[in-house]
Amino acid sequence: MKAFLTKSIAFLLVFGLVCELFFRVVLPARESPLVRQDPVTGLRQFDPDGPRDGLFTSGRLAHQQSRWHINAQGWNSDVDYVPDTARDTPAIVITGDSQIEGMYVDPRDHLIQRVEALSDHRVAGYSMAGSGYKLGEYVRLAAYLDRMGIRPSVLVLYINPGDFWRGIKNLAGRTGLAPRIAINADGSGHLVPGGVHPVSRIRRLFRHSAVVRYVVFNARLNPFAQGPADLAMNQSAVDPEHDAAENPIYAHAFSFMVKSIGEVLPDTKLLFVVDADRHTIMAGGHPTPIPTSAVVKAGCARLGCRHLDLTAPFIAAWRKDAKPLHFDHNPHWTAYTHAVAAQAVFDTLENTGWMPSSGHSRR
Amino acid sequence: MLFNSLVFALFLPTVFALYWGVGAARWRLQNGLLIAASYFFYGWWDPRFLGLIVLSSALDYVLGLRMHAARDARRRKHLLWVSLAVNLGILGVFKYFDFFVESARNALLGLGLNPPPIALEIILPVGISFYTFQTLSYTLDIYRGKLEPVRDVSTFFAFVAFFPQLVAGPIERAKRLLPQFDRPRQFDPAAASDGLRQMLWGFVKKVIVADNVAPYVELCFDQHATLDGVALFCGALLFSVQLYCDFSGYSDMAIGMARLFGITLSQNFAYPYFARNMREFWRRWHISLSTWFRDYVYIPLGGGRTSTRRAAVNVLIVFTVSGLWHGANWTFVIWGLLNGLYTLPALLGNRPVAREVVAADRLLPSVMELGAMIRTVLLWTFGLVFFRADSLEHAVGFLGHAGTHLWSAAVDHSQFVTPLLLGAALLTAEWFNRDRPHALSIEGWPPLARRATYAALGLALIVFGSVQSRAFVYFQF
Repeated sequence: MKAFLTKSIAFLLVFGLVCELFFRVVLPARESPLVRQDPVTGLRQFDPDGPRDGLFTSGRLAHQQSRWHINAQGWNSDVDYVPDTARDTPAIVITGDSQIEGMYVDPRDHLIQRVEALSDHRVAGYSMAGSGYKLGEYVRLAAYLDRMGIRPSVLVLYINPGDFWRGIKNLAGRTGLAPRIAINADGSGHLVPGGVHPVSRIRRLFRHSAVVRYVVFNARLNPFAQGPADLAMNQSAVDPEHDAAENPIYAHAFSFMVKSIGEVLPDTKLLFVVDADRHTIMAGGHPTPIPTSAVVKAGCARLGCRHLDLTAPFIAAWRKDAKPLHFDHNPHWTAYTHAVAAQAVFDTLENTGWMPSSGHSRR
Repeated sequence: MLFNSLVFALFLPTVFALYWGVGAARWRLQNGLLIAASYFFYGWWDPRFLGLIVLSSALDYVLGLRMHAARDARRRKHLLWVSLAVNLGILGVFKYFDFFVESARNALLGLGLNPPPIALEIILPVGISFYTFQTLSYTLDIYRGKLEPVRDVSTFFAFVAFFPQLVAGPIERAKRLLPQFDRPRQFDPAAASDGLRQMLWGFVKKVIVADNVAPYVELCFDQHATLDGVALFCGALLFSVQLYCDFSGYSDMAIGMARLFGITLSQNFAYPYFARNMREFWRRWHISLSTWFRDYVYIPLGGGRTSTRRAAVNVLIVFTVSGLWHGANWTFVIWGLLNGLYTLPALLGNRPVAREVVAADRLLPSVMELGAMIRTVLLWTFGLVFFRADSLEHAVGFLGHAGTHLWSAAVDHSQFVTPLLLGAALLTAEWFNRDRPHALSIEGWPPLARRATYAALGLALIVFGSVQSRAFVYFQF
């Protein structure tokens, strides 16, 4: 028995080492930056004291690969972000969930970098996004920007299906730790702060194992990968936002968000960019905008912000180039999609006159 | 609890450590541990049905002792009838009640009567058909004087509930398995190593092949009206791959796992897709069930020692009942009957069943042998359409659509290439070890080559293993 156990354990150890090597060299496992919360505003961002560079891969064969770089402020960007006083050009900031966080593309291919390039660097493009960001975190971002001395000329906010639902609903698990917008009986709202994201030492320890990272992220064999909220959303036969246009709670939440941001950043213009049903587009169909697009559109007409639905630009791009608008193994934008969205954002900013005509326009 | 789940990966080493930790001399305590672990394993799925296993075990334990003690043949027969009535009664209520009542109602409706619908809609307890047949073999063998009853309670309860084979077999004979629980077991490193190899191969079959092929099968059977004959043929062929890899994979895991505990289970599959006719096929597929039906149904009916006509009828009866054992649906009855018909030519022609492996001592089969193997697989695959279909209408619709819509350019046939190649690769690997108990019987290889093979298969499991922990197909039976 002793010999059997010794041999078995020795084999498992060697096998573990072989796997470590394999998932570092042959099929590189996903590397992810560490997450922290801003000590003052509680905003989730990356930890600049953790690893600053890495290779983000996805899929079992790691066929999607992109690099990431965490700047000194804790965001995925090749450039450090500086306050307005240290810059000659106005800033355009974009926020959103993992789509805008942009781990699936190189930082240079990111939407905001392309907008900056399209503007011929008349503006400084800053991306401040995090996986699973919800409406409450957009409000929190305004406080963060104010504290950092960055008062952007335009704040671009990305809206994805489920953002409103998750932003309002009282959810359990890690998803429930995000700040939530609660709507009062009179239609006004308030921000429920959410909790402190626990820093799991075990997670940080396992991060050093390529096998664990591969199994959890690339092979997606992690049984705890989906939180209760995601499961509820994904298993629901009915889109929880299907009644968004008629349900006043969505309009109230939107108003609260816009007004809250406006109170902190009164001079900042808001542009809401709403994602499209890319699956239908790529199947050759002509989808209707996602249900919350109508809420954003009506809200912007009421409150003076701008609404950009990406359905039309994505349909046009698909018909012209027939290039995938997301990866085949996950729904995140490709570098091409970032470019299409960047062009649409840039055109909107130009058409509305929100894009500064020249640099050196410090407010 | 599924073998291919995270919780089982924790469960098995824990039970293994406790089992050998108490010492081989305390074998009754080991039995107790196995019983507790097995009940925990079974109860993880639904603890309510544990009562059925306990009832079945307790009843047959007592009946076995009394049957043996009874001197009166009539009393022995009565006791056997009690065992049959209770065990088959439980099986009948949980598995067949709705089917028979619904079938009778449909027949009455056909006669113009209008009986009210009655359905219990009871959940089918996992593995009920397996452990019921296993415990029945005990009372039947005692009745026939072929087995002495066991006195030790822990031995009998461990025999019925042994978790590696509790829910999907192999269906062990009491005569073979009981004595193994009724004595001290010694840890055999060589047997345990081979058990681990067999488990590894079972995981490869289940997690890499069966579970990756399953979505294509689901596509073909769920949306057959949108596909063409070629695609549906691929779907049916892939189902034969899925079913084999799923079920024989489970058997490999169960047999291998049992060896870790010093228990030897019967071989349940012997490379059936290398059989040259359907009679040989059934000596290689689900062997523990086939031999159960042979010993307890076919031979008591007269077997082959009667007239040829009677023997043919017996074969059809056995296969029909075997079909019904698989599920309470007419599709299984037709599937069983079809397989009975398949075996008749060899039986009526009085051709001996080949017992040696195909192309023994040769690398490749002859053209004749290859043709015979392909014919056998095609016949089997045709029957499996009934096995997989939800209803007779579904099966007929599937076959009808395949026959009338042979080809459509709108269907993407290339999607079936990868899963078919996967199945072909597995069968090729099995071909080279077709005379061994399992395909990973590589104990004769140099140590480095062996370990490299384990490492490669382990890596393949991580990289190519299906994401979902799919339940085993045979759990439903």
